[in-house]
Amino acid sequence: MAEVQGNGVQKLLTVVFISIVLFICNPASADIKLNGFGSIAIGTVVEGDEFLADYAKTGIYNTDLSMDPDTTFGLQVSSYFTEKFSLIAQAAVHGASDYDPEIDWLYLNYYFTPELSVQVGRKRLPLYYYSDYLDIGYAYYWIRPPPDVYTWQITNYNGISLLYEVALGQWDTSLNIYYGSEESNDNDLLGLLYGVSVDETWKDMIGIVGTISNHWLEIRLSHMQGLIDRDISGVTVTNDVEQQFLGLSINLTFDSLLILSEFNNYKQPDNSVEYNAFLLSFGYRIGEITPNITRSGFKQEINALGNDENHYTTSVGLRWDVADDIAVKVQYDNVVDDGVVVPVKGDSKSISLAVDFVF
Amino acid sequence: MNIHAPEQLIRSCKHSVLLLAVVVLVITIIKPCYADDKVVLIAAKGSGIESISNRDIRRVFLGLKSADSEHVNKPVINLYNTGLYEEFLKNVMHMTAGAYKRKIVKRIFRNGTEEIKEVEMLSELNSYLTNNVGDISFVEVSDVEKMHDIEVVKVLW
Repeated sequence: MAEVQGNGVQKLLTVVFISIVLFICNPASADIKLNGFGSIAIGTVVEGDEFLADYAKTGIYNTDLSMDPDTTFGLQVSSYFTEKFSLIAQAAVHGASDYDPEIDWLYLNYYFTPELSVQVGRKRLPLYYYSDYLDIGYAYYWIRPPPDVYTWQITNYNGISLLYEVALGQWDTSLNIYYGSEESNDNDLLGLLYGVSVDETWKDMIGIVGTISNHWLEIRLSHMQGLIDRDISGVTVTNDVEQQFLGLSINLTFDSLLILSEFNNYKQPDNSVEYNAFLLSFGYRIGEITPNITRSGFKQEINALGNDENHYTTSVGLRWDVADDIAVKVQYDNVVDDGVVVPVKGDSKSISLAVDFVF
Repeated sequence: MNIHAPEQLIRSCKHSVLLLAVVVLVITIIKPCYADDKVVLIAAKGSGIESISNRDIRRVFLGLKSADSEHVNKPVINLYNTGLYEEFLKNVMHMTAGAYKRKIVKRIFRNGTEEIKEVEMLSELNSYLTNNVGDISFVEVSDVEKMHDIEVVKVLW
Protein backbone atom coordinates (compact mmCIF):
# COMPACT_ATOMS: atom_id res chain seq x y z
CA MET A 1 0.00 0.00 0.00
CA ALA A 2 1.23 3.41 -0.81
CA GLU A 3 1.83 4.57 2.70
CA VAL A 4 1.22 8.19 3.34
CA GLN A 5 0.60 7.59 6.98
CA GLY A 6 2.58 9.76 9.31
CA ASN A 7 2.77 12.79 7.08
CA GLY A 8 -0.72 13.97 7.89
CA VAL A 9 -2.14 13.48 4.42
CA GLN A 10 -3.66 10.12 5.31
CA LYS A 11 -5.26 11.55 8.42
CA LEU A 12 -6.63 14.47 6.42
CA LEU A 13 -8.08 12.09 3.87
CA THR A 14 -9.61 10.01 6.66
CA VAL A 15 -11.27 13.12 8.07
CA VAL A 16 -12.56 14.00 4.60
CA PHE A 17 -13.93 10.48 4.14
CA ILE A 18 -15.69 10.55 7.52
CA SER A 19 -17.08 13.98 6.67
CA ILE A 20 -18.48 12.58 3.45
CA VAL A 21 -20.10 9.69 5.30
CA LEU A 22 -21.63 12.12 7.82
CA PHE A 23 -22.74 14.39 4.99
CA ILE A 24 -24.50 11.59 3.20
CA CYS A 25 -26.42 10.68 6.33
CA ASN A 26 -28.46 13.78 5.53
CA PRO A 27 -31.38 12.46 3.47
CA ALA A 28 -31.63 15.75 1.62
CA SER A 29 -28.16 15.35 0.14
CA ALA A 30 -27.13 13.85 -3.22
CA ASP A 31 -28.02 10.38 -4.44
CA ILE A 32 -25.75 8.12 -2.39
CA LYS A 33 -24.73 4.52 -3.00
CA LEU A 34 -22.78 2.36 -0.59
CA ASN A 35 -20.91 -0.75 -1.66
CA GLY A 36 -18.75 -2.90 0.54
CA PHE A 37 -16.31 -5.74 0.20
CA GLY A 38 -14.32 -8.01 2.42
CA SER A 39 -11.98 -10.96 2.58
CA ILE A 40 -11.51 -13.08 5.67
CA ALA A 41 -8.45 -15.24 5.12
CA ILE A 42 -6.35 -17.62 7.14
CA GLY A 43 -3.19 -19.39 6.14
CA THR A 44 0.13 -20.85 7.14
CA VAL A 45 3.47 -21.90 5.74
CA VAL A 46 3.74 -25.68 5.71
CA GLU A 47 7.32 -25.86 4.44
CA GLY A 48 9.92 -23.11 4.71
CA ASP A 49 9.84 -20.08 6.99
CA GLU A 50 7.82 -17.25 5.47
CA PHE A 51 5.64 -16.43 2.47
CA LEU A 52 5.30 -12.82 1.30
CA ALA A 53 1.69 -12.85 0.15
CA ASP A 54 1.26 -9.09 -0.24
CA TYR A 55 4.35 -7.12 -1.24
CA ALA A 56 2.83 -3.65 -1.03
CA LYS A 57 1.46 -4.06 2.48
CA THR A 58 4.08 -6.66 3.48
CA GLY A 59 1.49 -9.27 4.42
CA ILE A 60 3.61 -12.25 5.48
CA TYR A 61 2.54 -15.76 6.47
CA ASN A 62 4.84 -17.77 8.72
CA THR A 63 4.61 -21.23 10.24
CA ASP A 64 1.83 -20.12 12.61
CA LEU A 65 -1.76 -19.82 11.48
CA SER A 66 -2.43 -16.17 10.67
CA MET A 67 -5.40 -14.14 9.46
CA ASP A 68 -3.61 -10.84 8.94
CA PRO A 69 -1.79 -11.03 5.57
CA ASP A 70 -4.89 -11.25 3.34
CA THR A 71 -7.80 -10.12 5.51
CA THR A 72 -9.41 -6.91 4.23
CA PHE A 73 -12.63 -4.95 4.71
CA GLY A 74 -13.64 -1.94 2.67
CA LEU A 75 -16.43 0.47 1.93
CA GLN A 76 -17.04 2.55 -1.17
CA VAL A 77 -19.27 5.61 -1.11
CA SER A 78 -20.49 6.99 -4.41
CA SER A 79 -22.29 10.30 -4.27
CA TYR A 80 -24.08 11.32 -7.45
CA PHE A 81 -24.72 15.06 -7.39
CA THR A 82 -26.10 14.94 -10.93
CA GLU A 83 -26.15 12.39 -13.73
CA LYS A 84 -22.75 13.69 -14.83
CA PHE A 85 -21.07 14.69 -11.61
CA SER A 86 -20.13 12.38 -8.74
CA LEU A 87 -17.72 11.85 -5.88
CA ILE A 88 -16.22 8.44 -5.22
CA ALA A 89 -14.51 7.54 -1.95
CA GLN A 90 -13.21 4.17 -0.85
CA ALA A 91 -11.67 3.30 2.51
CA ALA A 92 -10.31 -0.05 3.61
CA VAL A 93 -8.65 -1.75 6.54
CA HIS A 94 -6.09 -4.47 6.02
CA GLY A 95 -4.81 -7.01 8.49
CA ALA A 96 -1.35 -6.54 7.02
CA SER A 97 -1.54 -2.84 7.95
CA ASP A 98 -2.76 -3.45 11.53
CA TYR A 99 -6.31 -2.60 10.44
CA ASP A 100 -5.53 1.13 10.23
CA PRO A 101 -8.04 2.76 7.88
CA GLU A 102 -6.61 3.86 4.56
CA ILE A 103 -8.13 5.91 1.78
CA ASP A 104 -7.57 4.26 -1.57
CA TRP A 105 -9.92 6.36 -3.63
CA LEU A 106 -11.17 9.91 -3.19
CA TYR A 107 -11.97 11.65 -6.44
CA LEU A 108 -14.48 13.73 -8.30
CA ASN A 109 -15.80 12.32 -11.54
CA TYR A 110 -17.39 14.32 -14.35
CA TYR A 111 -18.83 13.03 -17.61
CA PHE A 112 -18.28 15.42 -20.53
CA THR A 113 -20.08 12.96 -22.81
CA PRO A 114 -21.34 9.39 -22.25
CA GLU A 115 -17.93 8.19 -23.44
CA LEU A 116 -15.55 10.77 -21.96
CA SER A 117 -15.04 11.49 -18.27
CA VAL A 118 -12.46 13.18 -16.09
CA GLN A 119 -11.40 12.20 -12.57
CA VAL A 120 -9.59 14.49 -10.15
CA GLY A 121 -8.27 13.32 -6.80
CA ARG A 122 -6.78 10.15 -5.34
CA LYS A 123 -6.97 6.91 -7.29
CA ARG A 124 -5.32 3.54 -7.63
CA LEU A 125 -2.24 3.57 -9.85
CA PRO A 126 -3.45 1.46 -12.80
CA LEU A 127 -0.16 -0.20 -13.66
CA TYR A 128 -1.33 -3.79 -13.51
CA TYR A 129 -4.44 -5.56 -14.75
CA TYR A 130 -5.80 -6.09 -11.22
CA SER A 131 -4.53 -2.76 -9.79
CA ASP A 132 -7.94 -1.14 -9.57
CA TYR A 133 -9.60 -3.94 -7.62
CA LEU A 134 -6.70 -5.73 -5.99
CA ASP A 135 -8.49 -5.60 -2.63
CA ILE A 136 -11.76 -6.98 -4.02
CA GLY A 137 -11.04 -10.69 -3.66
CA TYR A 138 -14.53 -11.55 -4.90
CA ALA A 139 -13.61 -10.23 -8.36
CA TYR A 140 -10.99 -12.89 -9.14
CA TYR A 141 -10.47 -16.59 -8.46
CA TRP A 142 -7.24 -16.46 -6.48
CA ILE A 143 -6.98 -15.59 -2.81
CA ARG A 144 -4.69 -12.81 -3.99
CA PRO A 145 -3.31 -12.02 -7.48
CA PRO A 146 0.16 -13.59 -7.87
CA PRO A 147 2.54 -11.65 -5.57
CA ASP A 148 5.48 -12.15 -7.96
CA VAL A 149 3.76 -9.78 -10.37
CA TYR A 150 2.32 -7.29 -7.86
CA THR A 151 5.62 -6.22 -6.32
CA TRP A 152 4.86 -2.49 -6.20
CA GLN A 153 5.73 -0.18 -3.36
CA ILE A 154 3.52 2.66 -4.62
CA THR A 155 -0.10 1.72 -5.31
CA ASN A 156 -1.95 5.04 -5.48
CA TYR A 157 -1.53 8.48 -6.99
CA ASN A 158 -2.96 11.93 -6.52
CA GLY A 159 -3.69 13.68 -9.78
CA ILE A 160 -5.97 13.79 -12.76
CA SER A 161 -7.11 11.23 -15.31
CA LEU A 162 -9.19 11.14 -18.46
CA LEU A 163 -11.19 8.05 -19.34
CA TYR A 164 -12.63 7.46 -22.81
CA GLU A 165 -14.83 4.38 -23.28
CA VAL A 166 -16.34 3.62 -26.65
CA ALA A 167 -17.75 0.69 -28.59
CA LEU A 168 -16.04 0.01 -31.92
CA GLY A 169 -18.07 -2.50 -33.86
CA GLN A 170 -18.07 -5.68 -31.83
CA TRP A 171 -15.40 -4.39 -29.47
CA ASP A 172 -15.49 -2.43 -26.22
CA THR A 173 -12.51 -0.16 -25.95
CA SER A 174 -11.20 2.23 -23.33
CA LEU A 175 -8.34 4.67 -23.08
CA ASN A 176 -7.20 6.06 -19.74
CA ILE A 177 -4.59 8.80 -19.54
CA TYR A 178 -3.38 9.94 -16.12
CA TYR A 179 -0.91 12.30 -14.49
CA GLY A 180 0.02 12.46 -10.82
CA SER A 181 2.38 11.75 -7.97
CA GLU A 182 2.55 9.94 -4.66
CA GLU A 183 4.70 10.33 -1.57
CA SER A 184 5.19 7.39 0.76
CA ASN A 185 6.96 7.93 4.05
CA ASP A 186 8.40 4.89 5.81
CA ASN A 187 7.35 2.67 2.93
CA ASP A 188 6.40 -0.84 4.09
CA LEU A 189 7.90 -2.85 1.25
CA LEU A 190 11.14 -0.88 0.93
CA GLY A 191 11.51 -0.93 4.70
CA LEU A 192 11.25 -4.71 4.60
CA LEU A 193 13.80 -5.03 1.80
CA TYR A 194 16.32 -2.51 3.16
CA GLY A 195 15.77 -3.18 6.84
CA VAL A 196 15.63 0.55 7.61
CA SER A 197 13.18 3.40 7.09
CA VAL A 198 12.78 4.39 3.43
CA ASP A 199 10.84 7.35 2.06
CA GLU A 200 9.84 7.11 -1.59
CA THR A 201 8.25 9.60 -3.95
CA TRP A 202 6.99 8.84 -7.42
CA LYS A 203 6.39 12.12 -9.24
CA ASP A 204 5.47 13.41 -12.66
CA MET A 205 3.91 10.08 -13.48
CA ILE A 206 2.33 10.08 -16.91
CA GLY A 207 0.50 6.92 -17.85
CA ILE A 208 -1.73 5.49 -20.51
CA VAL A 209 -3.85 2.36 -20.32
CA GLY A 210 -5.68 0.97 -23.33
CA THR A 211 -8.10 -1.94 -23.34
CA ILE A 212 -9.98 -3.71 -26.08
CA SER A 213 -12.36 -6.57 -25.40
CA ASN A 214 -15.26 -8.60 -26.63
CA HIS A 215 -17.09 -11.45 -24.94
CA TRP A 216 -14.16 -13.89 -25.18
CA LEU A 217 -10.99 -11.80 -25.49
CA GLU A 218 -9.58 -8.91 -23.50
CA ILE A 219 -6.28 -7.18 -24.20
CA ARG A 220 -4.87 -4.48 -21.92
CA LEU A 221 -1.74 -2.42 -22.50
CA SER A 222 -0.30 -0.17 -19.79
CA HIS A 223 2.59 2.26 -19.91
CA MET A 224 3.83 4.68 -17.28
CA GLN A 225 6.90 6.82 -16.91
CA GLY A 226 7.94 9.22 -14.21
CA LEU A 227 10.61 10.17 -11.71
CA ILE A 228 11.68 8.64 -8.41
CA ASP A 229 13.09 10.18 -5.26
CA ARG A 230 14.28 7.84 -2.50
CA ASP A 231 15.65 8.60 0.96
CA ILE A 232 17.12 5.77 3.01
CA SER A 233 17.42 6.55 6.71
CA GLY A 234 17.10 10.22 5.87
CA VAL A 235 19.85 10.16 3.24
CA THR A 236 18.87 10.93 -0.34
CA VAL A 237 20.11 8.10 -2.54
CA THR A 238 17.93 8.67 -5.57
CA ASN A 239 16.77 11.97 -6.96
CA ASP A 240 14.80 12.53 -10.16
CA VAL A 241 15.67 9.13 -11.55
CA GLU A 242 13.54 8.13 -14.52
CA GLN A 243 11.42 4.97 -14.34
CA GLN A 244 9.39 3.24 -17.03
CA PHE A 245 6.74 0.55 -16.80
CA LEU A 246 5.19 -1.47 -19.60
CA GLY A 247 2.51 -4.10 -19.04
CA LEU A 248 0.48 -6.38 -21.29
CA SER A 249 -2.45 -8.57 -20.28
CA ILE A 250 -4.29 -10.98 -22.51
CA ASN A 251 -7.29 -12.81 -21.07
CA LEU A 252 -9.37 -15.39 -22.89
CA THR A 253 -12.72 -16.96 -22.04
CA PHE A 254 -13.79 -20.08 -23.95
CA ASP A 255 -17.11 -21.11 -22.37
CA SER A 256 -15.87 -22.70 -19.14
CA LEU A 257 -12.15 -22.31 -19.78
CA LEU A 258 -10.38 -19.16 -18.60
CA ILE A 259 -6.84 -18.26 -19.63
CA LEU A 260 -5.34 -15.26 -17.85
CA SER A 261 -1.94 -13.73 -18.51
CA GLU A 262 0.10 -10.70 -17.60
CA PHE A 263 3.61 -9.64 -18.66
CA ASN A 264 5.35 -6.61 -17.18
CA ASN A 265 8.66 -4.87 -17.72
CA TYR A 266 10.02 -2.23 -15.35
CA LYS A 267 13.23 -0.29 -15.74
CA GLN A 268 15.23 2.68 -14.54
CA PRO A 269 17.41 3.32 -17.60
CA ASP A 270 19.89 5.54 -15.77
CA ASN A 271 20.43 3.02 -12.95
CA SER A 272 20.55 -0.16 -15.02
CA VAL A 273 17.64 -1.47 -12.97
CA GLU A 274 15.32 -3.75 -14.93
CA TYR A 275 12.99 -6.60 -14.13
CA ASN A 276 10.39 -8.70 -15.89
CA ALA A 277 7.37 -10.31 -14.25
CA PHE A 278 4.71 -12.59 -15.63
CA LEU A 279 1.73 -14.73 -14.77
CA LEU A 280 -0.05 -17.42 -16.75
CA SER A 281 -3.15 -18.96 -15.27
CA PHE A 282 -5.80 -21.47 -16.30
CA GLY A 283 -9.20 -21.78 -14.66
CA TYR A 284 -12.12 -24.03 -15.52
CA ARG A 285 -15.66 -23.33 -14.35
CA ILE A 286 -17.62 -26.42 -13.35
CA GLY A 287 -20.91 -25.00 -12.15
CA GLU A 288 -20.13 -22.98 -9.06
CA ILE A 289 -16.62 -24.39 -8.72
CA THR A 290 -13.57 -22.96 -10.48
CA PRO A 291 -10.35 -24.93 -10.05
CA ASN A 292 -7.31 -23.02 -11.22
CA ILE A 293 -3.58 -23.35 -11.66
CA THR A 294 -1.11 -20.48 -12.02
CA ARG A 295 2.55 -20.00 -12.71
CA SER A 296 4.11 -16.61 -12.01
CA GLY A 297 7.60 -15.22 -11.82
CA PHE A 298 9.80 -12.19 -11.21
CA LYS A 299 13.29 -11.91 -12.64
CA GLN A 300 15.57 -8.98 -12.14
CA GLU A 301 18.37 -8.49 -14.65
CA ILE A 302 21.64 -8.54 -12.70
CA ASN A 303 23.10 -5.04 -12.66
CA ALA A 304 26.39 -3.49 -11.55
CA LEU A 305 25.40 -3.93 -7.90
CA GLY A 306 24.74 -7.62 -8.48
CA ASN A 307 21.06 -7.32 -7.57
CA ASP A 308 19.37 -10.53 -8.57
CA GLU A 309 15.82 -10.66 -7.15
CA ASN A 310 14.43 -13.75 -8.76
CA HIS A 311 11.42 -15.79 -7.60
CA TYR A 312 8.76 -18.03 -9.07
CA THR A 313 5.46 -19.37 -7.73
CA THR A 314 3.21 -22.23 -8.73
CA SER A 315 -0.29 -21.96 -7.27
CA VAL A 316 -3.16 -24.39 -7.30
CA GLY A 317 -6.53 -23.18 -6.06
CA LEU A 318 -10.26 -23.63 -5.98
CA ARG A 319 -13.00 -21.03 -5.94
CA TRP A 320 -16.52 -22.01 -4.85
CA ASP A 321 -19.33 -19.51 -5.36
CA VAL A 322 -21.45 -20.52 -2.40
CA ALA A 323 -23.93 -17.67 -2.86
CA ASP A 324 -24.51 -14.72 -5.19
CA ASP A 325 -22.18 -12.45 -3.27
CA ILE A 326 -19.95 -14.90 -1.43
CA ALA A 327 -17.04 -17.02 -2.62
CA VAL A 328 -14.94 -19.50 -0.66
CA LYS A 329 -11.41 -20.18 -1.85
CA VAL A 330 -8.56 -22.47 -0.96
CA GLN A 331 -5.08 -22.12 -2.42
CA TYR A 332 -1.69 -23.81 -2.25
CA ASP A 333 1.40 -21.78 -3.16
CA ASN A 334 4.86 -23.14 -3.87
CA VAL A 335 7.48 -20.37 -3.98
CA VAL A 336 11.01 -20.87 -5.26
CA ASP A 337 13.28 -17.94 -4.36
CA ASP A 338 16.43 -18.00 -6.52
CA GLY A 339 17.76 -14.63 -5.39
CA VAL A 340 21.26 -14.84 -3.91
CA VAL A 341 22.23 -11.18 -3.36
CA VAL A 342 18.57 -10.14 -3.02
CA PRO A 343 16.59 -13.04 -1.57
CA VAL A 344 13.04 -12.08 -0.57
CA LYS A 345 11.74 -14.70 1.86
CA GLY A 346 13.30 -17.91 0.62
CA ASP A 347 11.56 -21.03 -0.65
CA SER A 348 8.19 -21.82 0.89
CA LYS A 349 5.06 -23.90 0.54
CA SER A 350 1.90 -22.52 2.06
CA ILE A 351 -1.81 -23.07 2.18
CA SER A 352 -4.54 -20.48 2.69
CA LEU A 353 -8.32 -20.34 2.90
CA ALA A 354 -10.50 -17.28 2.32
CA VAL A 355 -14.08 -16.14 2.27
CA ASP A 356 -14.66 -13.17 -0.07
CA PHE A 357 -17.85 -11.17 -0.19
CA VAL A 358 -19.39 -8.00 -1.57
CA PHE A 359 -22.47 -6.17 -0.45
CA MET B 1 -44.72 -63.36 -38.65
CA ASN B 2 -47.63 -61.78 -36.85
CA ILE B 3 -50.43 -61.28 -39.44
CA HIS B 4 -53.18 -58.85 -38.40
CA ALA B 5 -56.81 -59.65 -39.16
CA PRO B 6 -58.60 -56.91 -41.21
CA GLU B 7 -60.55 -55.74 -38.09
CA GLN B 8 -57.33 -55.44 -36.12
CA LEU B 9 -55.75 -53.52 -39.01
CA ILE B 10 -58.67 -51.10 -39.14
CA ARG B 11 -58.58 -50.68 -35.33
CA SER B 12 -54.81 -50.00 -35.50
CA CYS B 13 -55.35 -47.44 -38.25
CA LYS B 14 -58.07 -45.72 -36.19
CA HIS B 15 -55.74 -45.57 -33.18
CA SER B 16 -52.95 -44.18 -35.34
CA VAL B 17 -55.20 -41.54 -36.88
CA LEU B 18 -56.54 -40.64 -33.44
CA LEU B 19 -53.00 -40.38 -32.04
CA LEU B 20 -51.93 -38.26 -34.99
CA ALA B 21 -54.93 -35.99 -34.49
CA VAL B 22 -54.07 -35.55 -30.80
CA VAL B 23 -50.44 -34.73 -31.64
CA VAL B 24 -51.49 -32.20 -34.29
CA LEU B 25 -53.98 -30.65 -31.84
CA VAL B 26 -51.34 -30.37 -29.11
CA ILE B 27 -48.82 -28.81 -31.50
CA THR B 28 -51.50 -26.39 -32.73
CA ILE B 29 -52.23 -25.34 -29.15
CA ILE B 30 -48.59 -25.07 -28.11
CA LYS B 31 -47.26 -23.31 -31.19
CA PRO B 32 -48.88 -19.90 -30.53
CA CYS B 33 -47.48 -20.04 -26.98
CA TYR B 34 -43.97 -20.35 -28.40
CA ALA B 35 -44.73 -17.46 -30.69
CA ASP B 36 -45.74 -15.41 -27.64
CA ASP B 37 -42.57 -16.34 -25.79
CA LYS B 38 -40.50 -13.80 -27.63
CA VAL B 39 -38.28 -11.83 -25.33
CA VAL B 40 -38.41 -8.07 -25.67
CA LEU B 41 -36.62 -5.01 -24.40
CA ILE B 42 -39.04 -2.67 -22.66
CA ALA B 43 -39.16 0.86 -21.30
CA ALA B 44 -41.82 3.20 -19.98
CA LYS B 45 -44.12 4.67 -22.61
CA GLY B 46 -42.78 7.96 -23.89
CA SER B 47 -39.16 7.03 -23.24
CA GLY B 48 -38.23 8.29 -26.69
CA ILE B 49 -35.95 5.31 -27.33
CA GLU B 50 -36.31 4.62 -31.04
CA SER B 51 -33.58 2.10 -31.71
CA ILE B 52 -30.83 0.37 -29.82
CA SER B 53 -28.48 -2.34 -30.99
CA ASN B 54 -27.82 -5.56 -29.09
CA ARG B 55 -24.26 -4.34 -28.81
CA ASP B 56 -25.42 -1.18 -27.05
CA ILE B 57 -27.79 -3.13 -24.80
CA ARG B 58 -24.78 -5.17 -23.68
CA ARG B 59 -22.87 -1.97 -22.95
CA VAL B 60 -25.71 -0.54 -20.88
CA PHE B 61 -26.12 -3.74 -18.87
CA LEU B 62 -22.38 -3.66 -18.17
CA GLY B 63 -22.85 -0.25 -16.56
CA LEU B 64 -21.66 1.87 -19.48
CA LYS B 65 -23.56 4.77 -20.98
CA SER B 66 -25.58 4.11 -24.11
CA ALA B 67 -23.84 5.13 -27.31
CA ASP B 68 -26.93 4.61 -29.49
CA SER B 69 -29.53 6.77 -27.81
CA GLU B 70 -29.41 9.66 -25.39
CA HIS B 71 -32.83 8.59 -24.15
CA VAL B 72 -31.55 5.30 -22.71
CA ASN B 73 -30.94 5.72 -19.01
CA LYS B 74 -30.11 2.76 -16.76
CA PRO B 75 -30.63 -0.99 -16.99
CA VAL B 76 -32.90 -2.96 -14.69
CA ILE B 77 -32.36 -6.68 -14.21
CA ASN B 78 -35.55 -8.71 -14.23
CA LEU B 79 -35.25 -11.59 -11.76
CA TYR B 80 -38.98 -12.27 -11.88
CA ASN B 81 -38.16 -15.09 -14.25
CA THR B 82 -34.70 -16.46 -13.40
CA GLY B 83 -34.68 -18.75 -16.44
CA LEU B 84 -35.24 -15.72 -18.65
CA TYR B 85 -32.45 -13.86 -16.85
CA GLU B 86 -30.02 -16.67 -17.62
CA GLU B 87 -31.16 -16.74 -21.26
CA PHE B 88 -30.66 -12.97 -21.46
CA LEU B 89 -27.12 -13.32 -20.10
CA LYS B 90 -26.41 -16.09 -22.57
CA ASN B 91 -27.96 -14.48 -25.67
CA VAL B 92 -27.16 -10.81 -25.13
CA MET B 93 -24.34 -10.59 -22.60
CA HIS B 94 -22.58 -13.78 -23.73
CA MET B 95 -21.68 -14.83 -20.20
CA THR B 96 -22.85 -16.82 -17.22
CA ALA B 97 -24.54 -15.30 -14.18
CA GLY B 98 -21.36 -15.68 -12.13
CA ALA B 99 -19.18 -14.07 -14.79
CA TYR B 100 -21.67 -11.22 -15.14
CA LYS B 101 -21.74 -10.63 -11.40
CA ARG B 102 -17.95 -10.47 -11.20
CA LYS B 103 -17.82 -8.12 -14.19
CA ILE B 104 -20.25 -5.74 -12.53
CA VAL B 105 -18.41 -5.91 -9.20
CA LYS B 106 -15.16 -5.01 -10.97
CA ARG B 107 -16.78 -2.03 -12.63
CA ILE B 108 -18.42 -0.81 -9.43
CA PHE B 109 -15.18 -0.81 -7.50
CA ARG B 110 -13.02 0.34 -10.42
CA ASN B 111 -15.18 3.21 -11.67
CA GLY B 112 -17.61 3.92 -8.87
CA THR B 113 -20.40 2.86 -11.21
CA GLU B 114 -23.84 2.44 -9.68
CA GLU B 115 -24.96 -1.08 -8.85
CA ILE B 116 -27.48 -2.31 -11.39
CA LYS B 117 -31.03 -2.35 -10.09
CA GLU B 118 -32.58 -5.80 -9.66
CA VAL B 119 -36.29 -6.51 -9.25
CA GLU B 120 -38.02 -9.78 -8.47
CA MET B 121 -41.69 -8.92 -9.08
CA LEU B 122 -43.29 -7.98 -12.38
CA SER B 123 -45.40 -5.31 -10.69
CA GLU B 124 -42.27 -3.87 -9.09
CA LEU B 125 -40.54 -3.80 -12.47
CA ASN B 126 -43.55 -2.05 -13.99
CA SER B 127 -43.63 0.54 -11.24
CA TYR B 128 -39.86 1.13 -11.34
CA LEU B 129 -39.77 1.63 -15.11
CA THR B 130 -42.70 4.04 -15.15
CA ASN B 131 -41.06 6.04 -12.35
CA ASN B 132 -37.70 6.06 -14.13
CA VAL B 133 -38.42 6.91 -17.73
CA GLY B 134 -35.56 5.83 -19.97
CA ASP B 135 -34.59 2.83 -17.86
CA ILE B 136 -34.74 -0.46 -19.77
CA SER B 137 -35.36 -4.08 -18.91
CA PHE B 138 -36.31 -7.36 -20.57
CA VAL B 139 -39.43 -9.54 -20.29
CA GLU B 140 -41.29 -12.20 -22.24
CA VAL B 141 -43.67 -10.50 -24.62
CA SER B 142 -46.65 -12.14 -22.89
CA ASP B 143 -45.72 -10.28 -19.71
CA VAL B 144 -46.04 -6.91 -21.44
CA GLU B 145 -49.82 -7.42 -21.52
CA LYS B 146 -49.80 -7.70 -17.74
CA MET B 147 -48.03 -4.35 -17.41
CA HIS B 148 -49.27 -0.83 -17.96
CA ASP B 149 -47.66 2.22 -19.57
CA ILE B 150 -44.86 0.05 -20.92
CA GLU B 151 -43.70 -0.08 -24.52
CA VAL B 152 -41.67 -2.63 -26.41
CA VAL B 153 -38.43 -1.08 -27.63
CA LYS B 154 -37.07 -4.11 -29.41
CA VAL B 155 -37.56 -7.84 -29.88
CA LEU B 156 -34.40 -9.44 -28.50
CA TRP B 157 -35.06 -12.99 -29.71
